[in-house]
Amino acid sequence: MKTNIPFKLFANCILVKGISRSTICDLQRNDVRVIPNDLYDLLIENEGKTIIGIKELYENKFDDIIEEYFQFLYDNEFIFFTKQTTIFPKLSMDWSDSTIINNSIIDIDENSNYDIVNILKQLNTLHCRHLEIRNFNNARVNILEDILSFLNESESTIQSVEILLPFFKDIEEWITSIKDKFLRVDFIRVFKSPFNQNRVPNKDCKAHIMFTKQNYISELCCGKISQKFFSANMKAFTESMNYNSCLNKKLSIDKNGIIKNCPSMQNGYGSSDSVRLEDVISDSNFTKIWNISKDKISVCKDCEFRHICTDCRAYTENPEDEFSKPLKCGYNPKTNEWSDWSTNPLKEKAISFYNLQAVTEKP
Amino acid sequence: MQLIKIEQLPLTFHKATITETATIKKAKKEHFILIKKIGSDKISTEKFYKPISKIFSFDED
Repeated sequence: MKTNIPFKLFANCILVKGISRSTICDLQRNDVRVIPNDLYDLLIENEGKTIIGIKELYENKFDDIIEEYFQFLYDNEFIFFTKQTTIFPKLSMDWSDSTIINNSIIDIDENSNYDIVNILKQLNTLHCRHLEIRNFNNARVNILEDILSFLNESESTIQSVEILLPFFKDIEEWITSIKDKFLRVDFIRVFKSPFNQNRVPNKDCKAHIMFTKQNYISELCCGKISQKFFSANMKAFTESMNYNSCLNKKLSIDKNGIIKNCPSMQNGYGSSDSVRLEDVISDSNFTKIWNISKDKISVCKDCEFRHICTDCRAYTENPEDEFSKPLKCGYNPKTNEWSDWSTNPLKEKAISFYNLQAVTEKP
Repeated sequence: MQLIKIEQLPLTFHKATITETATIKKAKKEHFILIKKIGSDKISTEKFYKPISKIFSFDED
């Protein structure tokens, strides 16, 4: 470590301050480290100075701690030393995307009978790139195959497809039959399975496949906030700084064919069989929610993980407040502790409001 | 240098010009197809940068 040469944070290492602690998010390596707020302040105030100089600023009373801080930063390659500090500018935190809609959820269950191909054609004109098809109750593999075939034949703009479906007897054969035929499929999640298994992509199968014993009965099961869903990459981080990290440029169709921001939300914008998606997107009521960034949401705005985390506007602690904390988040940024959100007595009223009692019961 | 009309060019050169143009056209077309093919392959494997919905991740259970 060069203590007599000024230090700089690598531009892809972004500091986020929370109420009790901070994080350094390395957006190139998808790596996040928790740091004390003291170190955050020290870095913000002293970037471009030498470590010797910083020690002197603190009258050499905290040399050991400053040494330890910088050794940690240097060992993890968050900082480098240079005399040319001005030639390393900050990265832009702007976010842009050329698509009109960049991701979509289509829900189907055993009673769904709306025209999905019509929706896929419209998603194509909106340049949609990523699609998740969620199949609750009985697996409707014929519909899934029709969707995937249409995407292949129409050379759709949709680049990746994730599928959520329940376990059925011949599911292994079905997965084998589609994995090479439909290369857009990159994630298959199977619930109500007799076993738990995680199959990462390999040379034989490019899709990530997960089996879980859990049962997911409907869209009521969505909206969980967990470290498992953190994304520390440039696109997700900058999107979160400027827009809603779940709903921005998202359009969904619920199991009844109703157009929504997200299938779990109460507000619908008409049946997909009679209303054009393009018309819904030009409705400011539909798009205004895209602008609710984490910095505007209660509690989240104090959280050190806010820009790598997902959000949920469908289930919130206070259903009457559009800026309320996601209901299914068990993290407390003041104590830095995770707890089970579903057993929190303060959330009982909201759980009841959304009829989430069934999904909070433990198996 | 004196400029000459295209029909005044020696026959061999003229033919060569035509062939060359055709080759370029063909090459451009192939190049375009190649780019499109690479693009298509890339499109089919690109992953989304964040979870679309938040129902389950394997190790949450």
